[in-house]
Amino acid sequence: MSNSLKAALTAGLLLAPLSALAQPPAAAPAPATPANPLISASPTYATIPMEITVNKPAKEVWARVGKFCDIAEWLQIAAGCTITSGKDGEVGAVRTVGSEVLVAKTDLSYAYTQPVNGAARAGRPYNLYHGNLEVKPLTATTSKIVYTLMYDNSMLADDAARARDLETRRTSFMRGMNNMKILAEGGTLPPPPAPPARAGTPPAAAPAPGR
Amino acid sequence: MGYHFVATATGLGMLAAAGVALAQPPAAPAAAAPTYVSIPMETTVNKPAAEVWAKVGKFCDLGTWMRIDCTITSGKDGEFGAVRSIAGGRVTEILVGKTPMSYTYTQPVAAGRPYNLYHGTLEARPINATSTRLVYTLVFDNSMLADDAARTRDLAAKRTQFEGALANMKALAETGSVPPAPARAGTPPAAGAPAPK
Repeated sequence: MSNSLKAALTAGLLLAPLSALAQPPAAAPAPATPANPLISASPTYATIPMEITVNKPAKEVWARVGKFCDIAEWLQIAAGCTITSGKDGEVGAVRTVGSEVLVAKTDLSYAYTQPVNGAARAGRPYNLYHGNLEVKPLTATTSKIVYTLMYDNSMLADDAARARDLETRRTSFMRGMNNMKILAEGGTLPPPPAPPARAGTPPAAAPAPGR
Repeated sequence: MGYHFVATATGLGMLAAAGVALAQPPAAPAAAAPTYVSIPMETTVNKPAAEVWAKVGKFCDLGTWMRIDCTITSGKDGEFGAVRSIAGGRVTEILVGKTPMSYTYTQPVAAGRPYNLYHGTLEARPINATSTRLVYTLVFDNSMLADDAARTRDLAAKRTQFEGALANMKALAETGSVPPAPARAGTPPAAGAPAPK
């Protein structure tokens, strides 16, 4: 072995311990890349199909209840509904109700979804919630309103929670469909249901005797 | 809950020196100010709408007119919630809307990129008793692309791809088959074929 090689090896042996001491201690294994909390690990897509028959032709029904912001009338949303982006009735339009985006349409239907930001703010997986409203002709004078909700319910706590969630949505939208029928047939909507009382809120004062 | 990844420069330097792979921060969920664009495309098919839909309207018929593998991996084919897996599983799409001669699909949130709410809708519209308009509409948020030039390129690329698909659907509905795929640039001719001049 040459003297220069010996010198180099000796220097390396001397340096190695010094450099080892200068290095920080061996790091713990790299943590796994944090999972995106918006991603649903094992989605289960639930569907809620609902329908009601209306005694009016399909085109008339659609004209009465099928505009993108008509939802505020038949779901009796006190805050109303406005189009905040895009062109009303066209794909890409955004309405204030749920910040929902119109993503598809045919002559007598539309489909909408909600953006991901709500789930992001709540720190939960995005449930891909979609609603579809369609009016199908039955005869020259009657039609069927079909409302279909579709979403991933896998992130709910358990089957009982999923069943409650389904039922709540079904109840709310069946009320909306009954209202659509009333409106399309020329009637007047009943008063909206009272909101559930908050805990600690005193009951409304009873009317004075004699009224 | 926001997405925060806080580290000091010194800490990062030490970790890097030790060779520790730095955890990648999760992608932002969605654009703060989305701009939803749509790409409407259509072609006329010389067949009745119901016949056209029967030929091209099943959820995995995309495999034929896009010349790509497609498998239903979840749910019932053609029904809400059905999931198709495309391109060896690289693309997943869920059926989220349908009428008798249309369907709408979307893609789920994916790791590593902002969610753009991408949706596609295929519809067969009767023109008369013997002809049909096939309409393909894409809608998505393109606000997260780098600049207007990138958005223009992206729109053009998608349009080219799906207009090609519409042409294949037309051929499939009218003739029963999709034309052979165009040869890629630089691909040597098939054995026995005359050499390019």
